[in-house]
Amino acid sequence: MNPLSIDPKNLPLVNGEQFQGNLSQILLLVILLGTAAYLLLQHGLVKSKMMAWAGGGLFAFAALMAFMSIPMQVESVVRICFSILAVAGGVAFITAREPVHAALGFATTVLSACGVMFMQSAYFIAAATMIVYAGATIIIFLFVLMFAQKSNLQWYDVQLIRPVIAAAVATSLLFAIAWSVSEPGEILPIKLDLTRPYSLAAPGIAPGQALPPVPESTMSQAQLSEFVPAKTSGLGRSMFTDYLLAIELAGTVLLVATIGAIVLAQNPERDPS
Amino acid sequence: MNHSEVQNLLLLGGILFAIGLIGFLTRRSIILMFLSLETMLSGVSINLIAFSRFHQNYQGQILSVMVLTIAACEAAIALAMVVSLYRRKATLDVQAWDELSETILPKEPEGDYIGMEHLETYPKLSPAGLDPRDQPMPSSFQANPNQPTSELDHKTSPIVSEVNKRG
Amino acid sequence: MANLDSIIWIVPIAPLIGCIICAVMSFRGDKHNAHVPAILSLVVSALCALLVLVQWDSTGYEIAEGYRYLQIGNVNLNLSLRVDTLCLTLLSVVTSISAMIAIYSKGYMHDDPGYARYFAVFCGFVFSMTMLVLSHNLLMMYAFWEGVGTCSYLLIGYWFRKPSAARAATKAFLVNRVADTAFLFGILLLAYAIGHTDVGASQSWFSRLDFQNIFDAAPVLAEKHSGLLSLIALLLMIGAIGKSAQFPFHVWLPDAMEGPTPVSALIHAATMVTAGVYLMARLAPLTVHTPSVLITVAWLGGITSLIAAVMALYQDDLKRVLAYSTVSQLGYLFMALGAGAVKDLMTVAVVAAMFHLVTHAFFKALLFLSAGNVMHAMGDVIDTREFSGLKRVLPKTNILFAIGAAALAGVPLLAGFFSKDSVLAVLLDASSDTMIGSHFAALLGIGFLTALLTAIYTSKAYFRTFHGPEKIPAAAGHHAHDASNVMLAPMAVLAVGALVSGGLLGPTGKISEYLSKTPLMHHHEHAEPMWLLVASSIIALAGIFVGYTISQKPAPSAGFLKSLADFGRNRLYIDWLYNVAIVQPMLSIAQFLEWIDTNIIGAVTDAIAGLPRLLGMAGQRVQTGRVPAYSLLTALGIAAVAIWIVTRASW
Repeated sequence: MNPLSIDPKNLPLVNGEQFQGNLSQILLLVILLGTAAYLLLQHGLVKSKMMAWAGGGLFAFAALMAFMSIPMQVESVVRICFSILAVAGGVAFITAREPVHAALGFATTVLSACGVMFMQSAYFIAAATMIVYAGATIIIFLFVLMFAQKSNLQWYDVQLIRPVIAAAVATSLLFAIAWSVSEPGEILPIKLDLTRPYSLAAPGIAPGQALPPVPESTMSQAQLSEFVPAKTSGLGRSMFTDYLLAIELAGTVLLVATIGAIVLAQNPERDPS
Repeated sequence: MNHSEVQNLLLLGGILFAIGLIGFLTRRSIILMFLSLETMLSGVSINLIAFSRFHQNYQGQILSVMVLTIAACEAAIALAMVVSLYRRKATLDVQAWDELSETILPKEPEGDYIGMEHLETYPKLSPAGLDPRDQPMPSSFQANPNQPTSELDHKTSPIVSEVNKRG
Repeated sequence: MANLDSIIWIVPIAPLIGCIICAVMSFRGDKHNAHVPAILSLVVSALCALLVLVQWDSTGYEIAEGYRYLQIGNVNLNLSLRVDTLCLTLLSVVTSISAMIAIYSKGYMHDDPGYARYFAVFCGFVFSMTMLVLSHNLLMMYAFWEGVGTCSYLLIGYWFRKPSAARAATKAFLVNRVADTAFLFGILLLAYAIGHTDVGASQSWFSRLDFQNIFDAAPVLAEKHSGLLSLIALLLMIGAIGKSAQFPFHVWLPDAMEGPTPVSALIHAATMVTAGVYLMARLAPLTVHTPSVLITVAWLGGITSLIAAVMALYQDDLKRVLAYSTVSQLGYLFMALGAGAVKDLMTVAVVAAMFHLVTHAFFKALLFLSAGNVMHAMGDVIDTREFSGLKRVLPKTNILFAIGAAALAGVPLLAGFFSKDSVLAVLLDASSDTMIGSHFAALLGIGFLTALLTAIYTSKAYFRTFHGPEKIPAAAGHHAHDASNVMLAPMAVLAVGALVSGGLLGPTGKISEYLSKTPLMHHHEHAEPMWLLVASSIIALAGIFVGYTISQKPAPSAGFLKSLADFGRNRLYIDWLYNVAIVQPMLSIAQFLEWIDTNIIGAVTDAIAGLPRLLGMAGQRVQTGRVPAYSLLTALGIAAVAIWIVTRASW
């Protein structure tokens, strides 16, 4: 199948599967999560431990509901466990009192998100995320805490700014996301056949040579549906051929940021004037 | 990958984004706000990876690499700014920088301790290497861990002050 | 006349040019020479007026075309001059006396800082007065009527920093305004009424009020709408009464003495107050058809002359005496004009009134200028209780004042004698009418009584001022000498006029002949009975003797005379009545309205004005300068947009 000749409105459904919208379930999940987050937020200035336990209970119920709605396959179960762990880490992050507890929650979130990414065969991204977030960012954060944080609990760590409105705003935004996600979508996947060269980086093409015509695909429908872009080498090849400019620019941005960070963090007393 | 799977993943990304948003809007310490930003970005990354898998190309992953790069740059610059801001005011409170406000609004009182009396404080231990039986306990230390302090001190850490005293 | 147009136009235009030049001089430069353009222009104007007067020989009137002021559609407002003998008489009197008084003013106002302003307004006044006299249209006359009122206000309030002067000027203007409102109603009603006649229906509103049209329409209106005509005449006469200070509008004239003495001499003796009389004379062809109005006017004149004479008897201020004397003599004029109610007597009445007006102008101006000399010499003190026996200090003024006083009192063969006599003769004639004669008989009696009182107070004032023990107030200082020649010379001219004008004009029949040349007047042979002349002479001499006796005695201290004296000194409490009944209620209403304006309307306006500030302050509260607040607003916006897109977009 020539990928360029695919009509996006007329693609065959994958595995003959019909899409089932479970909007109400998703909305319920969203509302539960929002309420849980709000209640747990009270932990910052605890008026009653009851509210914190109620929030935790709601969260557990929401997690259970999510768990129940997935097909019982190994892949799905592992994925949902990682997801629940990520959300739990996030909730712990925003409701923690001590900054270091928040950092730990953040680390949990990032690691669980990386787990999810691993399961989507995005190995390089997962590894890079772990290194950058759970590694470098946490370390910088801890360094700053070391010299900026007082030894006791500071009131600006504990006191929250307008938690009700923030929770309401986030819930409504999440509601919008959930609604749009659960629409019976017309965004259908564009399947590509990696056995055919579709990239300039295909071996055998010399610079300046015209592209050979794209041959017809030899893979069957079933094979196509099983295809997953699982190779990091493929990512690397795509990175340095199709998106070379973007990557190089990213490197330049990193350089500029490094210089900028050094300049900004200088001690003012060392100014010669 | 079917629709429900990608739906779940998108939802997860959205939830992480929402959680990061709540953290950003409610937190008062600069670095915790910054961490919430990172959470939001990781939610976006999950979305992008899900789309990459769904469309079976590398576009999502490339974009995720860009997001990661920019997040790293932002982290560096943001923390450099935090450092220089801390040098000016010796606080990590984001509401302390309100010089651009209209003059009719009341200034936030410094050190609002309301509602913190009930918070438990952690027991203060003697610095390592000192035998509490040999020398008198400095007054800044409390023997009773259950007795709440009446105020929270802004002084430097007792460890540092002790170290400074000894020279 | 061949070049009538240009000469007669010089009469008002010369003072106008003088006024403009003096006004310019008052702003820049040469204040001390401001009298030069003023006196020059007034003398030129007087000479031209006399020239036209002497050379006039036609019996009709002539219109001197002027300036087309405004033309909209078929409405033409043009300033033209109507010249006939009636107006020439008054015109020559006005201009020559103005010239004399301007020369006098040079000496009197010598050191005053507002010298140029004085002459500017003076010339402006003369311009307005001459245009008033020469106007061909009733509405144009009304415009210059207001003009003379304005100049009078400016001149009475010449020393405007003195509170009493400012108040007096405002009082004069406001009282005149009330009367002028009635005048305006009369004018508008007249225009409306004329529009309903055959003649007037085709003309524009402005040209309906041409005097000629009024005269033509008067008989028609008298036939068909006599009630309306009476109302119109009444309203117009109220205007005349206001300007000429008759009861009940007389209250402004005594206060107007706050102005400089030459101003009093000119405006409030000779010229402006005669404008009312002139109006009545001018509208004689109209009022002939409304005898009831004329009788009313005559009674008002009679009452005025009597009460003014009583008040003049008991005033201490010399100028106030002369002011009340003016009011009294104007009452005479109105009595005379009112006598025109009797059939066929209108011409004689007008002649008598104009004759007395001319002579009165001369001797009253002379008297005022003499009082000005006294005031100047006594250091601005004019209270007769402060000085006496000045005949040694002011010899020439003594003589001049004596001449003027004698003329006023009616000493035989002087001016006032003949003119007063002609008024009394007209009243006598009118009293012989069958239907309304009784009114005029009573008025004749009042006229005799007033003549007696006039002689009494005049001689009392003269003897008290110039005879008796010499007493000079301390404020006089080194001023106590007679006036300079520049002040005495015009007074001498006026004295000559006071002496001979009566004899020249009256018995010789010159004035009646001259005035009969006015259109619509008929020559009427009229002889004055001898007993009237004898009676008035006896009255005059008796009154002088009584006045002499009174002047040597101190003020009455008990009994009826004392209460009468107090009554007179307080101006018969008429001013007090006006104050209590009209002025104070108006002030209260004004204060109440001001309270409403400040507190209610002001509060509403302030509230509306404060609204943007409140809105601004509401908006200010958003600008906290803190990052979390701003980020919350951003997140709110994003969430709102996202929800809107998701729930409304159709994929």
